[in-house]
Amino acid sequence: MIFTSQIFLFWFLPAVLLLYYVLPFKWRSGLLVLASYLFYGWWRPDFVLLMLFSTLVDFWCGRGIGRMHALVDGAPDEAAAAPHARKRKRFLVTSMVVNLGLLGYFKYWNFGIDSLNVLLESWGVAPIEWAAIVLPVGISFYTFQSMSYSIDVYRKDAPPVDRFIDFACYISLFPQLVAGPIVRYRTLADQLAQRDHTLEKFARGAFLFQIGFIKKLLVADTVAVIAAQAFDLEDPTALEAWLGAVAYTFQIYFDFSGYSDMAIGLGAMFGFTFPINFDSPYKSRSITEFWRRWHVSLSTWLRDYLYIPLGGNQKGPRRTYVNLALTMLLGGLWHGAAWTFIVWGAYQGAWLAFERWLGKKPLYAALPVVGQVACTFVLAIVGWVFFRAESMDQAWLFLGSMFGGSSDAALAAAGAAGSRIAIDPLQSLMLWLAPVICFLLPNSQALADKPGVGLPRLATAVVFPLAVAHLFFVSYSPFLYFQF
Amino acid sequence: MNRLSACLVIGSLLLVVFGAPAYEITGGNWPTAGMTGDVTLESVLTGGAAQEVEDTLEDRALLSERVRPRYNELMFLALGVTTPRVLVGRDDWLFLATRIVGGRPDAAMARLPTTCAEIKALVDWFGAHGTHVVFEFIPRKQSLYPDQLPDLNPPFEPVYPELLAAMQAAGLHVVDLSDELGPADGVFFLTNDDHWNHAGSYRAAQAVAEEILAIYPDGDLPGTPVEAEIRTTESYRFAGNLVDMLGFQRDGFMYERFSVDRARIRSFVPGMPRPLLGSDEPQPIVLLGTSFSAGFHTASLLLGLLGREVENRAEAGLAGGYRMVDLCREILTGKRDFPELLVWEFPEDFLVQSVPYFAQPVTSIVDVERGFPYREEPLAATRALSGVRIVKEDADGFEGRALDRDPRITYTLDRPIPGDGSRVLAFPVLVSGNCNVVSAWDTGPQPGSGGTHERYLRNSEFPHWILVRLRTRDGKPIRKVHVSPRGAPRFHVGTPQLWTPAEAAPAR
Repeated sequence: MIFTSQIFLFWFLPAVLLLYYVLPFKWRSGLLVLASYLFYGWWRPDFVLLMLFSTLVDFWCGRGIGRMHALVDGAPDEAAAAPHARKRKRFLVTSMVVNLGLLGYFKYWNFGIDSLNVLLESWGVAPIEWAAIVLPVGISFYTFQSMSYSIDVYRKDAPPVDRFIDFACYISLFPQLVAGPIVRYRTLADQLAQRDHTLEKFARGAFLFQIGFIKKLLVADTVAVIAAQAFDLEDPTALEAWLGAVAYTFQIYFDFSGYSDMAIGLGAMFGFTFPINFDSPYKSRSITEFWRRWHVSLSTWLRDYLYIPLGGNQKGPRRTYVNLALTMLLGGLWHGAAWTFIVWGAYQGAWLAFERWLGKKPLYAALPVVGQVACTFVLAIVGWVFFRAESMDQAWLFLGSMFGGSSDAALAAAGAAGSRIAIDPLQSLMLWLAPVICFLLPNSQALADKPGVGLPRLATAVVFPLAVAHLFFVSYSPFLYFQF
Repeated sequence: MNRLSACLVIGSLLLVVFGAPAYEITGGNWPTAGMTGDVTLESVLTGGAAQEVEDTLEDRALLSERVRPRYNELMFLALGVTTPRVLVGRDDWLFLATRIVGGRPDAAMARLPTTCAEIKALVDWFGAHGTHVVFEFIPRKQSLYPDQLPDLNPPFEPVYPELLAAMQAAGLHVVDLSDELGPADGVFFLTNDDHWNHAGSYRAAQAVAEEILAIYPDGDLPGTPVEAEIRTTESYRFAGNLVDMLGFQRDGFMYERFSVDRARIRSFVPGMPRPLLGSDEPQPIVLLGTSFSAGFHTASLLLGLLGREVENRAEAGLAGGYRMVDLCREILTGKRDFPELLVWEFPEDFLVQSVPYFAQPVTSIVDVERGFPYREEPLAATRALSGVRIVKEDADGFEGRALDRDPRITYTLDRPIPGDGSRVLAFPVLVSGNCNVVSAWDTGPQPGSGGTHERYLRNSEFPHWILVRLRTRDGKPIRKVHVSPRGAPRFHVGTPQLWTPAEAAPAR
């Protein structure tokens, strides 16, 4: 089920909201689990079993780690504690192996065999035949959440959960199940046991949900048409390539941040407080700052569970650069099993390492703020070309057109205007509106926190029904991050 | 957030999320209302049932019917557009965008000689059996009235003259309608529709009638003589198919803005009020046409101009070359004789944007004509389904929904049939949405050990007949036949027939 569908908006959401507020608190987590399993299994009920399996394993591992903590802490000396400590580690390793195993199998098996077949064919060996594995939606998100629980319990950053229903609720919570934010267990542990339901919190959630809905339906899906046209061209002109890359830059931001706003908003409507996921990233003055503002829940997850365990910045400058590059490389791979994502991750990692080498400053630090923001934005655009391209060949072709100019054939095909991309008035309006929102307006969370009725709330109350009306015109349009 | 703003925000959300279902329920539109298929365990596990619930909800949404027109009017007033499918040109002329934007159709133009040769092969087959084929080849309004188009990039480049020249070069008898329908003597196209107007239809029919009369200089036209007069009837307000696509409120102010006066021109028996629309029975003169003929009475006009009965085989719908398959299916199975004169009407885009839907059925007729006449019988086989959910079954076949990307119907034949190419598989398919129907046949247990055949179909109100000559590489007998309607969420697959040359013994 997707948030921008009639079945969700007009049937699932009102039914769950109604039941949630009718039931006493002790039943509410159970209701959310049932609703989340229905939400997740709506199109593929068999994938619910996979999530349930992952949930059971991590619940068991977390309880095991908790028991071992007690035994280790209660042991009279280190020798007595050692077997329990080893057992505790085994629980953690089991959790890691199961989660990474599921992720590896479902997400990377096809890529691995494909890559192997390319090698085999180059050696004249017959390729391996296999049936392609279908990627369960959101597996990257819920396995990361699941792992964060085991690690947090192991590190004693969070207590092991008592009730299975609370843990199942944490893993499956439908607002952020399939595309984040990646909420860590320690963030939600207390809220699972007790959370406030106030008018203000509900209103804040409703406002964020509406803003996210508008961002996705009216902006992201509209500029997506421009990006799709550009990336469908076999030989784009410079103008077409830039137009497509800029349109995609705005599409991915409004799509993903729109989803995050809706997720955070829905969470608030059910009493949860999720962390911010997008903090006006295109206002960043460096790539380092960009990654503090873009997909914050992933970048902090990678920082806490990958970069810091690798040594972070504590093992000398060289090792810091390597750690940064490696973390972003794996971050790229997390987004998808394709060379384009790996190169995108490497590109981001390289910039982070470079800026670290310069002292966390961008190369263009001497420029005025506007110039720094503009340069960072251009660097982001270049990165998104790798992210959006179907293949590395297409990415190079696109970048070649952007920076190397148009080929004669492309110019001839594009005519006097230099572009074959058809842009209707709504698309044109959104393409102009998108940078205004990104660069000049506060982000959704800041708007939600502003006191008083204010123009944003009035405008949202008017535009939201229009965006819902727009829903009647659009065909199925999943969020970009569903594929990850 | 103060209480007032909280109430404003919550109110606008709840109004939508609770108001919409309340509105639907009071109109009797529950989520499962209108579902036609049974909910089975398989359909739930594969997501088919969920998909159907969503589709049915969206198809039947009462709110959508109310909201859409108002939203379209608002969008048009604000931005001058409601859908990218319709271009709004000068003086409120409307155009279908798909045939105009995107620049010159180079791939289709490169294929043009092949397409014309394929048509010529079919015309030669008709000619060998005494049928003369005249083409009423219609230019689209953008080809003749490009000044009415909005500014486009790249600019629209008419290709009708090139298409006409290619058909003439292939030896086809084509009537050039560019002068008849051009802007010199008036406007011969509806500004709010994708078709010509009745005056345009009449001028084209006159040009075609002149060509036909030139074939029979002594006036010895085939067919039953008819006495008729051509009359123009009273005009009425008409909103064309492009106005419907803009999606305004019917009879609303925007609908009225784009409506035009339209007067029908048809043939009548002198003194009688009922028009003559052409015959449904086989006649020596046949008009095979599209919505240009069906909606604008070309058969009636030809009847009046020629003074002969005309068999009217014009039908609206996105049929491409499948109307010709229908006619030829009757000839190939001995249900009717060849006509003496065939007027084949189609618009220029059949050779450009619609070429797969046109050329494939045409070549399939040429491919199966060897062996004619055929005896048709139901395919004796056991049916198995994969990735298909049957919604409804009747004597003519079944209506199904695709559960995955490769829905497949497998027919295991009661008796193997020869793979020497002497047999033809024929089956009708009706699809929702563009579709690629793949037919495959096997000589043994391994799928794909025989051959495959692909055919593009578009959504239509009428089933399209697919004709496939069953041939295996080594002539081995065929044991299984598969039909895969890929890309269409819903389809109706008719009972397959096996065509055997009339003189051949039944397969054993």
